[in-house]
Amino acid sequence: MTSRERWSRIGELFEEASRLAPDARTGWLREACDGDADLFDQVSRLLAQDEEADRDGFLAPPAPAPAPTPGATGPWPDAATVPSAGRSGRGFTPYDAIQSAPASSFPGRDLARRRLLGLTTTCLVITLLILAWKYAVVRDPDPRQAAPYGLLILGLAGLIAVLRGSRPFSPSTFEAMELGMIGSVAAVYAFAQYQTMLDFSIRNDPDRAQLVLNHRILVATILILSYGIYAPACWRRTAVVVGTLALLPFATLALLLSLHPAEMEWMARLGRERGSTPLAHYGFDATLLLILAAWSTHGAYWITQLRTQAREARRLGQYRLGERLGVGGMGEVYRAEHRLLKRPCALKLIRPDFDPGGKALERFEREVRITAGLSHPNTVDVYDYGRTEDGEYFYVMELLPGLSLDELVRRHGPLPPGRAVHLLRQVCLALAEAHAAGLVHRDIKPSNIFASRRGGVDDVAKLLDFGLVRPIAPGLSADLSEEGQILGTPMYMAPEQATGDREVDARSDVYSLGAVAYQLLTGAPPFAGGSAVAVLVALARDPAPPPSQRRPGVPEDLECVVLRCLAKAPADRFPDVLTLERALGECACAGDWGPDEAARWWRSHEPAAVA
Amino acid sequence: MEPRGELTQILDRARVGDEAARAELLGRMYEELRRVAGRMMTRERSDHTLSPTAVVHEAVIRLLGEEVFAKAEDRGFVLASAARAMREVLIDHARRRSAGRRGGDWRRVPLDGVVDYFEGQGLDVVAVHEALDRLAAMSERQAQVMTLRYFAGMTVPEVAAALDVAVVTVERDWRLARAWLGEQLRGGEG
Repeated sequence: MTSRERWSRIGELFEEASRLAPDARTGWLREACDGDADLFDQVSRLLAQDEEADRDGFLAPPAPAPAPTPGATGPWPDAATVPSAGRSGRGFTPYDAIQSAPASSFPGRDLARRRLLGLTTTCLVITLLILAWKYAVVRDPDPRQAAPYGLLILGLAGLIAVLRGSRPFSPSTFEAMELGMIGSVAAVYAFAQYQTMLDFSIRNDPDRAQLVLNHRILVATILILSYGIYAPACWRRTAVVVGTLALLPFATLALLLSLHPAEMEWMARLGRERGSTPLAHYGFDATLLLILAAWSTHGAYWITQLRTQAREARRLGQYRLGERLGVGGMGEVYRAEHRLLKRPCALKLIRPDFDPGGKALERFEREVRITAGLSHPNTVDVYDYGRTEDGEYFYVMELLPGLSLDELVRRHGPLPPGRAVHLLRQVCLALAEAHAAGLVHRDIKPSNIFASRRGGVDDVAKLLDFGLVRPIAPGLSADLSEEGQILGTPMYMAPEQATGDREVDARSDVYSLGAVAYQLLTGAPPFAGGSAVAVLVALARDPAPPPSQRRPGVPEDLECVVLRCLAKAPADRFPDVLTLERALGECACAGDWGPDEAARWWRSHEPAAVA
Repeated sequence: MEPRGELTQILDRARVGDEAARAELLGRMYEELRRVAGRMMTRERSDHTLSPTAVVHEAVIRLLGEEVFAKAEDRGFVLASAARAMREVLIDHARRRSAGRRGGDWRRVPLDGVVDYFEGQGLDVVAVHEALDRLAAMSERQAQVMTLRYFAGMTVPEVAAALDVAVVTVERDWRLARAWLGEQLRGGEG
C-alpha cells in the first residue's frame, strides 16, 4: 500500500506532468523522479491511464441526474434563478418542481371519430341499398357485378368496427381514413357505373344505361351533401373532395365513350338524331351537381366557423384572454377580461396533461376553494373557477397592478424599515384569518406577496398562492402532501418544515414571515448561497445572523422582532401572527411609511406598474 | 426531553479521529439513508425517477433535523459521511439486485441508475467500492470526491461546495483518482 506522503507526491508529479505536452512528459518525469524508478513507473502508468480514460470515456460524468422528485429535497433553483412569472411578475408559484408529462391530447378527437363514423355509415347504407336493389328488385344483372360492392361493404364495415373500438387515433390518421374511405367509395361507384353502362349498351338497352347514369348522379348528390355535413374539416379540402365527387360520373362517362366508341354509338346517335348536343344532354345535371358541391363546401366552412366559435365561447366561459403574464410547470397565467363586466383579472390555466395522477389537480382545486373561502382584503380575491371543454382547469383572480416583494427588492434593493413593517403587518392580518380558519400557508415567500394598488391606495399587500395550505387540525381534509415530502421554498421554510420532524403549525408561517422580513430589510434571505445541503444544514442548526450585520441601518427593535420569528424552536417565536403584528406595530419605524409615502414612491419609481 | 446533543457529541468525537464515533455516525447515516431511500422508492411515483442526490439530501436533513447543532463547522464531514453511507446503501442494493436477478424476484428501483452506470462502464460496483476504500487510505478527500460524484450524483461545483474546496481542486482530485481507478480496475498488473 502506498503511504499518504508518497501518494501525495505521486499526485503532484501526475498533475505537473499532465500539464506538459505528451511527448515532453517522460523526459521531465524521469528528471523529476531523480532516480526513483518505482515512482517514475507509478506516475507513468497513471498518466497512461489518464490518456486512455480521455480517449474511451472511462468514468465519464454520469448522465445528468433525473429531475428531482417534486417536493423531495433535490437541488432547487435559488430565488434568483426561479423563472419570474412574466414581466410584471404576478408571483404565482411557478411550481417548477412539477414537470409536465410529455403526453399530448387531441381535443375534439371524439368528434372526429363520430363524424367519420356517420359518414362511413351513410356510405354503407347507400351501398347496401344499391346492391339489394340490383339483386332483389331489378333481378337482372350479372352476379359478377356484385364483387366490387361486396368488397366495399366489407371495407366499410371493417372501418366502422375499428372506429367503434377504443383505439386512439391522431387527427392526421382520421383525415387519412376519411380520404381513403371516400376515395374508395367514389372509385367503386365509378367502376360500377362504367361496368353496368357498358353492359347495358352491349345488350342494346340504352334506356337502362341512361337510367344507370341518372341513379349515379343522385347517389353523387347524397355523397356530396353527407360529406359536407359530416366532414367539415376545412373548406379547401371539402371543395376538392366534393368537386371530384360531382365530376366523377361525367368523367366516367367520357372515359367510356372514348374507350368503347362502338358500343356507346347509341349515345352519340341519341344526341344527333334529336338535334341535341352532349352538352345539352348532360350539361344541366353536371351544373346542378357542381352547384351542390359549392353549396356543400360553403356549408362545411360555415359549420367549422360555428364550431370554432362555440368552442372558444365554451372554452373559458365568460372570459377573454389577453397577454400571457407568466408560465409555470402547471400551466400559464394570462391577463383576462370578463366579457360582460369588463373587469380585468388574472386567469390561471392548468394544462390537462400535466398531472396524470390527479394529485396536483386535487391540490389545485383545494387551493382555489381555500382561497375563495378567505375574505381578508390582504388575501388575493378569487373570482371564478371552471373547467374547459378540453379538460383544462382554470381559475380567475383579481389582477394586481404592482410588484411582488421579490421583484420589488430585486429591482429597487432593500426596503426602508418602515415600509417593510407596513407591508408585513398587512400580511400578518391576512394570515390571521387563515390561521383562525385552521389553515397554515406553508409557502410564504416574497414572490407570493404582492405590493399592489387597490382602491386607490398604494402598497396594499396581497397574499397569494395557498397551494400548499393545509389544515392545522388533522381530519379537516385529506393530507395531499405525502409524508416526508418537502414542499415549498427552502429558503423561507421553517426548520421543522424542512426536517419534517415536528408538526407544522401557525408558527411555521411566523418563521417564514421572519425570513421574508429579513429579505426585505437586507436584500437576501437569512440562509442563502452554497449548495442545497448547505442551506438546509444551516437552516437546521445555525442561528440567523442579525440583519444589521448584513446591512447597517436596520433598527434594533425591528431586528429583535425578525430574529424572534427566526428562532429554531417554534416555542421561542411569536405564538401567533397577531402578536407579531402588534410587535411590528410597536417598532419605532412603524409610523415612517403610510399611503402618502407609498403613493409618492410608486409615482416616482414605478409609474408604469400602477398606471 | 430527548437526548439532545448526542449526535453533536458523536460528531465531535468523530472529528478528532475516534473510530468508534465514526462508525456510529456512519451507522446512523446508513440507517437513515436506507429509510429515506426505501420510503422514496415505495412511494407511488410514476412521473419521476429519483436521483441519488435527493436521497442523500433528504437523509442528511432528516438526521440533522433530530437536533440542532451548536456549530456551523464540519458540514463537509457530515456530508462525506452521508456519501460514504450512500455507497454502502448502493452496494447493498447491488448485491441484493444480483441475487434477486438469479432468483427472478427483482424489481427495478430508481437507485439502479448508479449500478447501471458502473455496469455500462464494464465495472463491478463492489470492486469500485473496495477500490475507493483503498483510495481513502491514501487520500480521503479524493475518495470523497469520487463518492460524492458517482454515488451521490453530485456535480463538480456541488462537490466543491460540499467539501468546501475549490472547483479546480475537485477537478484535479477527480482526474488523478480516475487514472488510479483505471489502473486498479482494468489496468491489469496494477
